[in-house]
Amino acid sequence: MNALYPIVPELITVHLGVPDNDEADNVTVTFQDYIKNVASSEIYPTWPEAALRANIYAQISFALNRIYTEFYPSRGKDFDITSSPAYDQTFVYGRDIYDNISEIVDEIFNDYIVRGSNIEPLYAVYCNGTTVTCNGLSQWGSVGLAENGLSAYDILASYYGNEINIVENAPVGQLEPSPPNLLLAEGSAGNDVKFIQIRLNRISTNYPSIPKIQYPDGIYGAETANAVKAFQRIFGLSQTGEVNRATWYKIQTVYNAVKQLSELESEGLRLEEVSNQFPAASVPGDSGTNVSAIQYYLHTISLFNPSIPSVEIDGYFGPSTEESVKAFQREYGLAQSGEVDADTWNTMFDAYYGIINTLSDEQLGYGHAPFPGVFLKIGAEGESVLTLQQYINAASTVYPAIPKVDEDGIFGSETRNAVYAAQAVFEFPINGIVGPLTWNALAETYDDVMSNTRSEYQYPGEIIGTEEANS
Amino acid sequence: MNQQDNYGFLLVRASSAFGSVPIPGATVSVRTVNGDETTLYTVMTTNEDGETEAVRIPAPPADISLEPGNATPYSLVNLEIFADGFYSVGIQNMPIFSGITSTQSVNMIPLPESYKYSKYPGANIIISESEVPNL
Repeated sequence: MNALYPIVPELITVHLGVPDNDEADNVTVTFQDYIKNVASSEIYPTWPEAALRANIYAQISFALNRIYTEFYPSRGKDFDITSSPAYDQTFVYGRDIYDNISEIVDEIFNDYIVRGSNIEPLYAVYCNGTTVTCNGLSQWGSVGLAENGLSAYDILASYYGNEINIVENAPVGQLEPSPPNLLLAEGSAGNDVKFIQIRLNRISTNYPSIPKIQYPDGIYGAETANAVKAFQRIFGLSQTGEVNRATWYKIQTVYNAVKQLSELESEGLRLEEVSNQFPAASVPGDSGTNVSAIQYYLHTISLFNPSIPSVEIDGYFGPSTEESVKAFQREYGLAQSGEVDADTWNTMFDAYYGIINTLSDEQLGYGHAPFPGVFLKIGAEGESVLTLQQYINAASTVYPAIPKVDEDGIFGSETRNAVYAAQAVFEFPINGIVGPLTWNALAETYDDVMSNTRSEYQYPGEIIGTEEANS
Repeated sequence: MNQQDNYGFLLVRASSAFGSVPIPGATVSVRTVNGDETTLYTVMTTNEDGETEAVRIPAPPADISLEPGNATPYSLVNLEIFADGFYSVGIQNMPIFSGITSTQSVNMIPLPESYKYSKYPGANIIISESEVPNL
């Protein structure tokens, strides 16, 4: 990493033990959730607000310093920070979070302390100030200072020196696009608005108490405000009905999690093709469909179990696949050989199958079909082509540049032109041939569209009911 | 000031796949902790969003927490969350502070298929300890 300016990461990987304990799990959580957890674990939520804020600024800066300096990766570790207060800050995975602390963190999670005009986030040392003293913020001391009326900044300056500054609103990595500069509220209009409308509709498929926005047309009316408010209520944000930074990022995060689930089916295996029959043992260095199957099971399990790292489904049993297999074996009480023998295979399939059977089809993906395994091009005919044409027509409601096609199951020049257009829109190589990339991109768009209430209305490009009619 | 006059609030949110999927109809039991004993305080069920109502739990007065060396400024509860088809979750020694709402989000992991028919469902629980600050 080490960009010119610090970027607040979307996710942070926390080692649940001291650095040299190789048996301890790593968990990956959002940066906001990490700070909410640390703050709830380090201080009392009943303290005055200025003390809470001062402590939280210090906790954020400390974590960002670890990330910016790549402290643990540079020592060969596969995590960003540990949960041990002896080395870093207290983090209790899965703990309860205090609402007032959650609100403060949502506001300031991408603000941090620097010394003078330095770029590096401050290595903000702190301690309780009673049993442990240090050359930094005293947690108990901050309470007294806050009771005397000092602001959070003044409290920090009294411990870290007057030349400190607080950098505000640093960019957050990975979450594209960045939030709009202005609050989105009733009266706003534009692509930013359409972006969140489509995403809220997809999330509402899993959370039915979020009302659907019937026409995600990019205009923020009362319907959108109600959906935003319901989302805020469910995910612990202030219910303003307006999209501020924290709400924008939370919508992204939840949508990405929902999307990952729905992409399971498109990752390559139909349910009918999945077999619990143990093939042969797979070991690091192997490649082929057995390895793809293993990776698919591990990827699925990783979406539900934080102790299992995700893997790419590339059919090659490399180091990251081996690491994931070992984590799975540790978690499910098997010998950590890193190799997939009969026992490991059966346990893996058992876990995978349990997941698939517990959740509904809708939750796992709106039912879009996985890539049929055969590249589709002009001259092809059949079920898969028909499905492709349905996806193309759904996509054309979101991307007007993609022309509609006749759903006749025949891949002729009309369908090929639509594929050219789709590949241009998605910035794929434009060759008129539908492989897994093109298929999945169209299927995902179909998913999004199916999440919206069906209507004959065209969504994008047509503004509903404004006074802009040409005279 | 009577300790019974002070309350904190607790609500539980149960979901799977890290918030993607809510778990409606999960049973949440709350027990208050007094030394070595626990007492059942209430049992709740999650709604269609996977959320319980906010329940009121007695806690010590907040001003105890403003200085070091006083009595413990929180009360303790244990939670158990059960939903069909998932590992049960147990959370022990969760602190409750007066005037503060705590939200406990629980990530429920689906059971492997063969565990669903286990004769000994009691084994299918994941227990974790909360922690209080080391102040």
